Amino acid sequence: MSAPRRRATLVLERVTKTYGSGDIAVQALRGVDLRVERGDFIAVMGASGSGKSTLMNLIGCLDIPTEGRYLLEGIDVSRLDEYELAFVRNRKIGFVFQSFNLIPRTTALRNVELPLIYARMPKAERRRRAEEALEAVGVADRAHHVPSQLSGGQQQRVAIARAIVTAPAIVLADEPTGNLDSASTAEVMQIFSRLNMAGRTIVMITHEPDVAAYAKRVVHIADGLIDSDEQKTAVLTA
Amino acid sequence: MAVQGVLANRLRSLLTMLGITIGVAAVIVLVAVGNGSSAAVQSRIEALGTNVVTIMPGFSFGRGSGGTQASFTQFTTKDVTALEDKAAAPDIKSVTPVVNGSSVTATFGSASYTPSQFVGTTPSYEEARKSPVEAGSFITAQDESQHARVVVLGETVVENLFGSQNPLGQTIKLNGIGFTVEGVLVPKGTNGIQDQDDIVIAPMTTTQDLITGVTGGLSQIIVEANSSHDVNAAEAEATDILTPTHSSDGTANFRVLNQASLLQTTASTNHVFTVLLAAVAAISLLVGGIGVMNIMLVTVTERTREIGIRKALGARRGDILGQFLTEAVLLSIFGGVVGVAAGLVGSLFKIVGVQPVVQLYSVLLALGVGVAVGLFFGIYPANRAAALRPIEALRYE
Repeated sequence: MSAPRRRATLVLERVTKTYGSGDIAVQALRGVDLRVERGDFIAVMGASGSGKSTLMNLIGCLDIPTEGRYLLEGIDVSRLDEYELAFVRNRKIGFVFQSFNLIPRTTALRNVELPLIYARMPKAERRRRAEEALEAVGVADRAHHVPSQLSGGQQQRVAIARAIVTAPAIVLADEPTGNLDSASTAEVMQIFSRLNMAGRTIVMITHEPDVAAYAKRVVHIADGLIDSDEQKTAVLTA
Repeated sequence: MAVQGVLANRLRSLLTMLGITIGVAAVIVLVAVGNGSSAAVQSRIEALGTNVVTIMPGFSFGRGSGGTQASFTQFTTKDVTALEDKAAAPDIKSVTPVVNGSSVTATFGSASYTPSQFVGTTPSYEEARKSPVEAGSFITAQDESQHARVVVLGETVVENLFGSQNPLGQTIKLNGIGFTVEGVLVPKGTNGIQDQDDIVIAPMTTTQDLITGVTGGLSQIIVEANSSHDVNAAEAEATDILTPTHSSDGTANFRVLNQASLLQTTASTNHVFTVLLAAVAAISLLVGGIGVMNIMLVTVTERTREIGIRKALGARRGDILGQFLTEAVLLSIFGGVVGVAAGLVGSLFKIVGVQPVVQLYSVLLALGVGVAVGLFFGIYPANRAAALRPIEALRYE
């Protein structure tokens, strides 16, 4: 495990998640312990049905665990209500999805501004921060294009800009390269590596070993439990 | 954000707006038509004078020796004198006797014309019937006492006899007897039943002397009250004065026509008519509102994924609710404003012969109800959007 001196960004303690009840109850997570330090870059791997999507939903505060505790920057978010969860998602989590999930017919700039709008940030500042975020991922020149005018790689970069614009505690990426060709995959992963080197904490879910290779740490999940957790010594950046 | 939603699907938004537009425009135009027609009827009745009561001789059935028999009555100048008694009838301002001549043919040179109304009356007719002269003068008390052979003509008669010539001072022949044209009446137009300008007015004395004879009695007596508030009192006084001399077995032999009550009756009829029209229009507004709801439901389903994304990015329930509700209200406001414009333009034209009169309240009400309808029918779809669970919404294809 990593150094316990610093306060962990994310701590899961004996987290379980059960869907349904009685005979049809399905236990997707059966007691997961996970600790992610600030500045870490972790890849969660697992076959489909292993529980990694459920884990992703819990970490992303889209759902709450059935049992166990989830501390995000020291706050127990496992018992928050809908309104508070929305607040936590807005301030502490930056999502990057497999299918980009940009709002259609809305410019890249506006898409990036969206989390800041929900954070009630004044217009001038949110415009400035959105432009900076687009600059950071190298698509500033596409700020006024709508998603349908962008390539997959560009769309995903806009989505990354949207994820980092609020300076969240973690960037949560769910199969971020699943819909991309190999060239775009490399570009996007380099952006993640760069963001991580700049101090951003990243949790990425993937089933591709090539992609997982960019992470500092790889966690395997199977049958709702953590199977292996290996810290890599050398970080691949090429 | 909501504006974008509306603009994203222009044709659909336009069609949805159209529902509200038609509803709002229909309310405005139909209420205006209802008002226009009641205003038209009211002005016709008011043209007859609202503070006058018209008394006409009639008959009643009484039991006589040979069974039921009708008894007729005749009004004479004595009745007029009785009604003019200020002590018995303090609310009566003036009393105007009228004798009508039938089929009186007027000729001037080679032109010949038979006016539909021939009226022998006194000078107070001018005020009681609101028939001022446009040129020349009305018949005077002197004409009346001197049995002068003078006439005042309505515009239709002037046109038929004189064409474009000036009739004043000319002599026309009525049933072969010469009369001097003393005045021309201000045109009144039609009252819906007859042309009010198709009239010849002569002094009553002269008319009885030369046209109708004195035996026929008066065709009607016009009683003018001091004000429109005193009409009912004046009517009661006139009835009290005339009943003793013009009744059989205690039943009055005459009919009393009160313009004010006639006006009230038509006003209430017209009100019902207007309300009915407004109700029909309101239904179309309701249908428009359902259209908004329908489209908003489709929009919410279509944009489920977008809602999921927004929620993942930190949109709260209220944010999503606000967004979709604003969209619904925007649709209905746009639709409503266009509807007001269409309704105002539509009301400029005559519709089935009625000049619509736009009421401010109907404009505000239609717009207000239109927006409220959008809001009301937007609540359910917006709520559905806001209640979506982010995980499921994100998974939605």
